[in-house]
Amino acid sequence: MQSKFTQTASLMPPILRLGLERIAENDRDRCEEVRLRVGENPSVVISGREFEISDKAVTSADLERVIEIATNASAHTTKESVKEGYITAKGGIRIGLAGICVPSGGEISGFRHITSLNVRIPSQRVGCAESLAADICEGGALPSTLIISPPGCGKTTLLRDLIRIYSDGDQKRGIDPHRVAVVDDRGEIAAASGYDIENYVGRHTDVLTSVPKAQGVLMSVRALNPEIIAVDEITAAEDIEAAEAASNLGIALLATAHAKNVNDLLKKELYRQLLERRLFKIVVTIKSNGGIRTYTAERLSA
Amino acid sequence: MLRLIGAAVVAVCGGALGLYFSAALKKRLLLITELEGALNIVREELSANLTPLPELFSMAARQNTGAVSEFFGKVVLGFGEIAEKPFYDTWQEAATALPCLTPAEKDTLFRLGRTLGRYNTEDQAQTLGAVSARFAEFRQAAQTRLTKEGKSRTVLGLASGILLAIILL
Repeated sequence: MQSKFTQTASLMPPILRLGLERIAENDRDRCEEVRLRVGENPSVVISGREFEISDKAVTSADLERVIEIATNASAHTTKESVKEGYITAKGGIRIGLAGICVPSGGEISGFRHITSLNVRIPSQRVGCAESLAADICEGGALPSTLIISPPGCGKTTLLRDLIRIYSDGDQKRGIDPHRVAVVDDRGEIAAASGYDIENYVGRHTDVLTSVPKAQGVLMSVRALNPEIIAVDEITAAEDIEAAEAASNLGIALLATAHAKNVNDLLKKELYRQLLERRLFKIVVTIKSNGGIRTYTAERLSA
Repeated sequence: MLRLIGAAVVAVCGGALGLYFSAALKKRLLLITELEGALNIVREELSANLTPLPELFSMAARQNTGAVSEFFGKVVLGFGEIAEKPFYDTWQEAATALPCLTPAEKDTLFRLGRTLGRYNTEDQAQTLGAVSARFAEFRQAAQTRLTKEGKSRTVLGLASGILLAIILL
């Protein structure tokens, strides 16, 4: 299977790919993003810092080509995610969009001109959550856990590995196998494409892709009889309602949210509700320092 | 006796040539009709289900025959090398290779290729509708030409053959 870096490079037209191919092999694994801005030289983010990879400025035609390649010349299929400001390409590669939006009834219906792309290179680090999984485990099962960090610190990577571990189980660490339902609205967790699931998420995992989170959680509850429901990035009140409905049925939740720490969570109305309703027992905070991630699990008081 | 056989062969060849030209008109009409139908289905499928183009054109390749099936098949193959070759280039090449079409008909297809695969579904559906309508006009013109010229080409070919046979005799 191609590495995520190679998959990302294959989304670029030849002129942009050249720059990526010049990156040293040992830096490729640490590449987090490819940044393309019209009129500026293309660059990559490695361990949080941005480096130019070519002295040829990006054109709007280059961006159009990246979108064409990423969507297989089917940009019309990305309408819903474009409204949210991104496109998901094969392999769970998320492309963030910036430019001049078309406002329509309080939301945006699309982009009139796209001036920047942020191509996020997903990483699957199998095993990164092993010791954390054992630390948070309660009697072989997962207590509802919320993973928090600022953007780009590896929430989805950690979430994916926890899903894998709790789905397969780990006898050595006293973790039982669980039926896990993954609500993968952006296709970043499992990177499902057709009948293939590119990122391994465990033997007992069912994946719902391209479904709004709240709806996906309720669908899982009704139809999949999960023991754990995993979702990436809780962002709306209806997500919390659905999560609460699942939690009331005794289903463990595994989710992520944007916040620096628990205090930061409490400052945001949406997340304060999440904590007040006691949907999660554990909050895992990710800290990234020069590309090295540390995980801190905090048990919330009952 | 041999002269008579030779004369008959020349006359038959003339007739066959006329039939060949007439068949070319029929083939052209069939191609345009099939293309128009395929574009209509593509438009409906795109508008209703926002189907990705590779899936849409695979379906069109399966549902059609001959040159139209080959046309969509070539476009589908192009998706495999989209990072190297833009979709429009593949589309243009496949349209150029379509037999029997006039430059105006090919231009109409090229125009469609510039819109397909874009973000705006309505624009694509509108262009598909306009191109289908244009192909309906092409079909009518091809039908009229076949009605007018189909028989006359066969008769003319046969008559030329007979005339040549008489001269040779």
